[in-house]
Amino acid sequence: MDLTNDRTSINFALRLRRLLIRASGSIFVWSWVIFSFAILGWIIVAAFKRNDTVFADLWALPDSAEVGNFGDAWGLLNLTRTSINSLLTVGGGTLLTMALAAPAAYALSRVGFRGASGLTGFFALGIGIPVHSIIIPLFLGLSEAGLSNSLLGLTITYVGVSIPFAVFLMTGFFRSLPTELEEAATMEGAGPVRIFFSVMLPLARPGMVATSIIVAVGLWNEFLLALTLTFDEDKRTIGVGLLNTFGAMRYTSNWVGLFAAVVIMLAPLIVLYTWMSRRIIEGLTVGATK
Amino acid sequence: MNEIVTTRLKPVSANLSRHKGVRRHAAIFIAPALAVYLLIVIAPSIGTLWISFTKWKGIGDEAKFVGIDNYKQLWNNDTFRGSFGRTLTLLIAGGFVVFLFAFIFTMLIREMRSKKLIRAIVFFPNVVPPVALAIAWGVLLAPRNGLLNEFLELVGLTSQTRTWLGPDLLFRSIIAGLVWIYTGFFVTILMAGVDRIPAYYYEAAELEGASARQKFTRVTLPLTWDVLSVAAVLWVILAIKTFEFIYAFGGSGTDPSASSWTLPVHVYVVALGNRSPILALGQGSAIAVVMVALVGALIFLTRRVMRRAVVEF
Repeated sequence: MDLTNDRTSINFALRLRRLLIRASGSIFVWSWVIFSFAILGWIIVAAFKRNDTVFADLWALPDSAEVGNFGDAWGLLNLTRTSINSLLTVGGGTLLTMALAAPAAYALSRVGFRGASGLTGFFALGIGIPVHSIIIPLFLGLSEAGLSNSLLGLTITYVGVSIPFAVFLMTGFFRSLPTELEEAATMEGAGPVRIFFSVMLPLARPGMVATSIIVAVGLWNEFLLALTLTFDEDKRTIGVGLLNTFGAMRYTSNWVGLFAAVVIMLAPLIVLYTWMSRRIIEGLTVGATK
Repeated sequence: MNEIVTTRLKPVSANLSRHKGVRRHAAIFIAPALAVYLLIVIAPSIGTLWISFTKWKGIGDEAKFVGIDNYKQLWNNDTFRGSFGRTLTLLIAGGFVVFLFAFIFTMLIREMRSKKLIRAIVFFPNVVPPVALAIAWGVLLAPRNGLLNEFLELVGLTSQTRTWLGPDLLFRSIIAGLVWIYTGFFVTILMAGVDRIPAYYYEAAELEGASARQKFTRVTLPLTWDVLSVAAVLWVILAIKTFEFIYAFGGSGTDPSASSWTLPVHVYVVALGNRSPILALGQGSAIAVVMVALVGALIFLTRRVMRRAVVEF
């Protein structure tokens, strides 16, 4: 009798402890989530406020929605120009990266030849080379080639710096594909080119999509190369535009315009992310776990 | 017997190699990517190494070979030492917190119903332009009218308000921001490793009466070791080359004050700077070389420390 009583009380204490741990864990996780939403939400609300009252009461809702802020932000970002520039360089850079990286990754991971693993390692080496370590000669080289201050030069640079990670991710994807279809195609007498285009590429489509999204997001968000390699106002990308808007804030104190600019940049991103987050996340993790 | 086994097990790639001209095809497949990579990444890397041995202000100025002078100067340069130290602080202290949080998250949300949603939310800062993140972080920590200080006052913790962006706390505030951003990235990677562990391992451990800590050290840790080692290498690279957030946060569009510089920011300001470039290309290149060497050495070290027989399951 005593024994069972003891056991229940121990069980109870244990269960209580577990419950407490679980509860505090949930609080930790959800406060993190709420915190992230709160910052985002505050900026979105502030983007509709007036500049002279935005900091008067931080937690107040705007009494009138100042939609004009977004027009200002559009101008500050020079959005018509910068978004086109970004789409051209990031879109072109991503497509070209995939066109070069996919066949290379296929040959490296599926066509066994001597030196394949060494060469794969050589490509992966590029992931560890920070852009800062190449930017000075790169700038000089592009100037020499007449490609500095040009969107074409920036695009080619984007391709070069994206290739290592793209090859790394894609070799992971190709390696994870089953070998049977390849074997069957070889039996049928298909050559490597044929196998690549009509067997492997369709199979690797999810991997291609994920890799291109990751490459595109990375390029969309970078501003070091864009800032250094282009300098005319009409060559600015959207990231540089936001940086300049931020810098101008020191002199104009147009905070609501800045917040509106942030919202303009985030809006399409949030839509895209809600739709594609699973793809992005899974794409990133395949490289790490395969 | 052995022979039979080897022929039977020969991988399909060997079959393909026998195919006529496979090597040539492999070369055609790889050459374009390799060419662009060599031209844009490898050649400039070598160029940087060379420039680091010169004194040079760029086109129009004649480069003067000075041997290892630039490196010697770095050794005695307090600003450089500061940047180097801050990079290491970010790497080690920041890395500790990021991995601690990432593990806590992974273990906590493993059994939650909304785990995919939570993962997507904590990962989100990783796809947001760093300038936007820097603006948000600035809004949060601004000394006057900052959300954090105002919130602390609102809930009666006025004594806890700080000048978060003052010289003492600036870099810690930056590290906190990077932790907020990168934790989600590593949650994602660690979760991919944890998700591969069959549930019955945990069930078996529970039946044997294992505690949460035992489940972590005896099941989770050994079975995710390979993923963890990849994650550690990724952190080394990320921590050393992260630039955009620090640059934008520290200077809101102008060159930030030296008390927030890490190595990449230092390279940028010294060699290319936004408003008033110093154009010390030789010295900038020397720092860049130090950065690559640091990445290389630390990856080597990480792999050495983390090397351990992978548990097959």
